[in-house]
Amino acid sequence: MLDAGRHPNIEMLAYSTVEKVARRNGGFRATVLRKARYVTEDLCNACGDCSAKCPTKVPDAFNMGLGERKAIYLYFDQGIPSVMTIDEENCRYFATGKCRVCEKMCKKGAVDFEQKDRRITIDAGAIILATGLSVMDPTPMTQYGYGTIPNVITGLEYERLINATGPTGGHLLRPSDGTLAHRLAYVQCAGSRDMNYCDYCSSVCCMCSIKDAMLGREHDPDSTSYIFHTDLRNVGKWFQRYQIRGEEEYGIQFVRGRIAEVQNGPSDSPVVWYEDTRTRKVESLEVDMVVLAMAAMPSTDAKPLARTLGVDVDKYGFVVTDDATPSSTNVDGIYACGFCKGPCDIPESVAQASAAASRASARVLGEE
Amino acid sequence: MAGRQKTSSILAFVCSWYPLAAADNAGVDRCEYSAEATIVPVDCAGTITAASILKAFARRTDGVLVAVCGRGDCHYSNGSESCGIVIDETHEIMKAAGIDPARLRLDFSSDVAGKRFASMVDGFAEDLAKLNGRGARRTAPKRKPPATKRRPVAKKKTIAKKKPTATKKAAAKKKPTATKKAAAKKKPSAKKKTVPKARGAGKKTSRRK
Amino acid sequence: MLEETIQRTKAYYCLECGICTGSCPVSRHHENFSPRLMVERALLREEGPSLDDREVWSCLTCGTCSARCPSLVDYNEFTRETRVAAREGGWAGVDTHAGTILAFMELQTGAAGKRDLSWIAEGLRTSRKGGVLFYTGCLPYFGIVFRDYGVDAVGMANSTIRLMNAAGVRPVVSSDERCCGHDPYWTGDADTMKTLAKKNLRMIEETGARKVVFACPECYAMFKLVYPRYFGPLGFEVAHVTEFLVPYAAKGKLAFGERERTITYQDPCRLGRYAGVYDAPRELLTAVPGLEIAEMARTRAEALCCGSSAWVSCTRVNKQIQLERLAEAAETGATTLVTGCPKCNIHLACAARDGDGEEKIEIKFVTDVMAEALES
Repeated sequence: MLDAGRHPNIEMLAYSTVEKVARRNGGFRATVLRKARYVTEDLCNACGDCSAKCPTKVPDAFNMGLGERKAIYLYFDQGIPSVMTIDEENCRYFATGKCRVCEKMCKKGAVDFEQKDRRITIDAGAIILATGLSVMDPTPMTQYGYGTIPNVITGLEYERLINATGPTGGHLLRPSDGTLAHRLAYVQCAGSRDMNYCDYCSSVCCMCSIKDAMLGREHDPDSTSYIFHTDLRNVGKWFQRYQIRGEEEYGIQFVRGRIAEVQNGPSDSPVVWYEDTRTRKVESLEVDMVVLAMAAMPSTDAKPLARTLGVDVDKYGFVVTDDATPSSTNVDGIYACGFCKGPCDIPESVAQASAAASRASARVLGEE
Repeated sequence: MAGRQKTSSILAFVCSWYPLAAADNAGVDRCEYSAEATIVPVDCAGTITAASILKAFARRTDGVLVAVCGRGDCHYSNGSESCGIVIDETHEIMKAAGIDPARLRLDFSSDVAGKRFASMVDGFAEDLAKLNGRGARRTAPKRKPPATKRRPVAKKKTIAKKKPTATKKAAAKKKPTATKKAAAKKKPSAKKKTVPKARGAGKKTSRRK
Repeated sequence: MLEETIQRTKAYYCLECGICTGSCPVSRHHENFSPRLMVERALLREEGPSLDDREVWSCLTCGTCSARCPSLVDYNEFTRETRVAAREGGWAGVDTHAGTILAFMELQTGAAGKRDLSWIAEGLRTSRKGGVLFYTGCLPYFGIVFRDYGVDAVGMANSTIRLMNAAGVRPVVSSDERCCGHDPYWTGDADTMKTLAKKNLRMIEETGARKVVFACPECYAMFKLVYPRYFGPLGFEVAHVTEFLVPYAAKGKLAFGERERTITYQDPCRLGRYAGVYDAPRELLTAVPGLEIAEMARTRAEALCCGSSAWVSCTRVNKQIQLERLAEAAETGATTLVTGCPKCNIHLACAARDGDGEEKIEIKFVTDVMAEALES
């Protein structure tokens, strides 16, 4: 990302929306809405003086709502471009017409309340879709009690809790009482391979949970992780070896059997109910925290964008591609790569990105 | 009791202590009584359930007679009393379902005199004939063998563990023979109206139940 | 037959993930009972499922497993069809309550005459013909059989009529009504159900009713989900009494007096997981000023079954499930456990009677609570 951001031939338009795309001279003319950040991008160096003094606190979307951010904020620390943004909805100045503290704090004079949304047009020879994924909302799966049982969290929330820049500074603290969680249960296939929700395999959750469980043990030598799975789908180079390492070196307990139900136990410790299909016994296990490996779905923005572009998507919102030309969409000159066209992990996304980029350059250079 | 034509069907649950002895004596004493009554000996009044009575009605029996030992004379201490409760409840259910409760009669008696038994059955048959005559229900009794909906006793499990089809056959076979036997029993006795082999028959029937 | 059942219930989709057995309230107390293994046995066995297996009759058909099954295997239907085969093979279940209940249902297939309607309380207004029919189901019968359990089923029917009257509706109550056939149907006797259903449909046609209101969710689910499968679309609307009354309460046609109390609500499987009605009873209950609902830990689609169904199995396991549910209800701190189904009421009241007395919570049917709160 950083490399792309610094590349002289790459211009990144973050905080922007593609509004319209029209065919033009065999290529495309795109109208892009550049939303006002109320901060001049060229001046801001993301020093953070402004947000330190900002009086408004809002739940931090990047930290899955676990922490708080200010109304003037950096989406996340390594974000590109590294520029602050004022959140118009929550900013006190926009609501009451008074405040402008950030403006006073900024030594660069980068805060600009007069900034307006802009529309720019871009003439392009080819378009590549790489809209990625979003994670399924766990609330419809009421049997897992997400939202009602405090110590049931999603995999992404776990990632933020265990992250040093996250809301707890990398300590795995339980949302209910802020104590350290030692025993963790991972619910695999939460919404994936489930004909009620997403009937496909999300492909990344097995490896992701093994990695998370390993991280947990690294942070806390007393931690024990139980991964409840349908079958572990560690398909890929050395993935199996990774699982064995998790079992042998990190003490991960793999249980074959999906979790049927989570109940809240004494002192808010969730109790998971499952059938261990190897012993054929129904068991319950009290843990400190339950991590739901929720199904991954195409990004929620993918469908409206596909509509704008005239690209076909399936019922889940995945871009439809042909097996023989896996980078091409139904629209000539528009290519797709990564999770937006089907579940895949990072190495595969990178490979697909290269393929799509080659196809696009070949087209632009007139070699196709 | 002119003519003794069959006008209705009666299922009589008879406790195998005093009442069955009375029925037996009726035979010994050559007391003539209604041919309609099919006697089903039961081990104790306490084993009679509302279900067996209601099922008899469901399968088009005109009347059910329950003859049990007198109150306080139950061989197993309180069978007659609990039977009384069951019959009260059954009467209520019949009333709710629109069946005249008079079609179910409970007779407490520790009298083993055959004559009393015969006249008691006759009395019930007469009352039923009146009820039927009123057009409350059809007049000619239908002797339809019960449908195959019989629930077998769980004990039979082991026999058919390997081949369920075998049991099916067995179950199917069992039913017709049972009815046939009853019918066979009825015909010769139709004229004499006695139940001379009640005890022997009783043992067989009770095992079937 | 088995092959068809597997096809119809999509049992072949089974992933063997164990969610069904992990969800099953019976499996938690009974280690030999496993929906997953039953399906597995059916899929693997060449000679068919073991019809002599008593566990065929242990299933509550509560639908928790089917609701959660990632492969959408219709386990309830699987159980029911297995029961049909078991019954045909001579392995019918052992009926609870000495078979009385299924017997009076069978009685209504033909022998029974006109229903006695003298149970309708004085002062209540009903009619013989009209647009709205109140289908009483087994309530008058339950009133007789369960009197000793402290359950007044006739009272439930009367309170339903009282509420309808208060809303300005004079319902038809027909003496030609028969049992809906729910229990014979779920014990594998579809023929009895069909005979009863035909009589009911004719009866409703004769009264000219356009809307049929049910107090019992099992009758409701039969009319809504099963009858159309056998007899095509119904010529009338169906509604559970709570669904029927909610609009009247919302429009202020039903006025309730202030009743300070905290209750908890038991979602019946037929009303909830089967028919998808979760909100109507809650909306109706909260129409009473001062009445608050404290939800149990497992509620709505996750609600725990009342422990017994179709009068076919009542063992140690069923009692344990009922006591588990009563404990859960008591934990909410509510003084009353309100049920949406008369049968839940009967089963839970029975368990409360048998229990060690720790779970002291009043158990009431929804219309009884509502009728009590009526502004007179």
